Amino acid sequence: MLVVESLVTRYGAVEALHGVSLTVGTGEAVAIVGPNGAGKTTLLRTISGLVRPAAGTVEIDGRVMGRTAAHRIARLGVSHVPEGRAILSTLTVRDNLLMGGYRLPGGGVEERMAEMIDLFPVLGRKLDDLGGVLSGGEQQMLAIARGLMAKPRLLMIDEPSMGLAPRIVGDVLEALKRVVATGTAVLVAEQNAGLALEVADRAYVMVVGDVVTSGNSADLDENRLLETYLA
Amino acid sequence: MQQTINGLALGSTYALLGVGVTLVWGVLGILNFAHAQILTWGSFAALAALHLGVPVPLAILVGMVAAGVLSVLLDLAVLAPLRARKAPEFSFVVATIGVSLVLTTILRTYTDAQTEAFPRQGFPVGAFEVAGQNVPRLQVVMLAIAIVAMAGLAFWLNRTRSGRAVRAVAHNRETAELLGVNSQLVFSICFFVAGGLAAVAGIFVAASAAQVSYSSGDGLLLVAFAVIILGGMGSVKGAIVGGLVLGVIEVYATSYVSSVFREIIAFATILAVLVARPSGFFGKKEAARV
Repeated sequence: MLVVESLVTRYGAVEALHGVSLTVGTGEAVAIVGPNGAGKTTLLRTISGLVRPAAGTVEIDGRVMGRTAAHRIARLGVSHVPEGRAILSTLTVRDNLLMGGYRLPGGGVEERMAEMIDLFPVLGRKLDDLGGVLSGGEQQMLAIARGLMAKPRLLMIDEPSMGLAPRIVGDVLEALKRVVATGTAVLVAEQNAGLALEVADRAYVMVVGDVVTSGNSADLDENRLLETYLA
Repeated sequence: MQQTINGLALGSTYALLGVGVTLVWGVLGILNFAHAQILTWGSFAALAALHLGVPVPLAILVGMVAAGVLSVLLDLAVLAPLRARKAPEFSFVVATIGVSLVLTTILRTYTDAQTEAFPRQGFPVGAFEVAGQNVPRLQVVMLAIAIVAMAGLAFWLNRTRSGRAVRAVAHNRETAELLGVNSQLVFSICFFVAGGLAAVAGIFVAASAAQVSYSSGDGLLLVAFAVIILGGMGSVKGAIVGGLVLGVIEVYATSYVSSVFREIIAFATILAVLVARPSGFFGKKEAARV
């Protein structure tokens, strides 16, 4: 459903992506792993329309995005949970979830919210709390649930384990596995290769704006990836 | 008692002003120094309609639409490009000051810097008596409009899908876009509503004074900002309460001290309130965990 071809993204004179290509099939879980500064966040931001590409193409269901605005790409069924979670801290958990369902047509929002609470029960107990007072792990659950509210066909998650305690990372991992099990395609960008490979069927390894290797998760062991990072 | 009524009457003007400003400044966080000029242009549009024999309610609507459209044009032509470049807040202040000067100059030239008479026919005039006190009709209508506007805004922002989108854009525009919200459309709607409310305030101020000039709104901008700070940034209810409190303070200061010290006492009281309660009467501190 997603085809990225020779994508180049620049910030002024600095080229952050040097011609990245990748694909994500319907219902597939794919990881982008790589060290800090590899261009993972820039890649996701370019796919979701927050950053305009300098060259190359992003195709969603065969439609070339070009200079399509982020809100239009979201309406095509692409949800992006950005780095840092971007919780609307002055809105309640309920309002955050309702905003996640903003592009859902007509009714069905409450029903979808109930499904999200089934998936992440901790949110059900905190619906009237402000998003900003949740713990880091709860905020990550909320960010993922909010991304899923609109029934996306592709969920892109940037650094889901960032800043979380190891025990909470385990909870997030379980949550991601549950999302993958629902049949939603997932593209996860993560420094923690172990976590990413546990969730994804396939992975792309990025280093300084380029994809340096890719393959099935089972074939990419963590030690080999570490060597690639450090090369 | 009569002084309190007079204060509430003055405060109703301030409350109406504050409700318009709170949407763009209090909610979206944009300090629009051209708001006073938009208010004045709205008053002149209504005046032009009245001169054509249009009935008062329709003339008010004409003023609101004209000011709303002008406000949206200001956003699209000047502020949206600044947002696209992620310009610092200071750029917005300078840009809106520039726009206010342009709008003032055009109106001053068009009116030859003359004050125009604003017809009061069709507006509520005189006063009625309650418990032996005079209550001015025009100000009662203004207060009623301010309360209706407040209730409407509060309902829209807190209870509707598009109101939630406004709050999402105000909090983080990028995140709102990722959730499918057309943030430019949200800005346009907010500027239109704020412009329309500014026009209502301007028209009633003009009707109250029975005159309007190119500089009618100038003195009101600082008052509007003070009202928002006193009531609490982003609080629609705070704009009404802040406006009424400021009005009462000013009238008390004039009656019991001297009109010379009216503004000094009013702003010193605001300062004292803010020292005790930095977020104003109804402002909320942002809760965030990092």
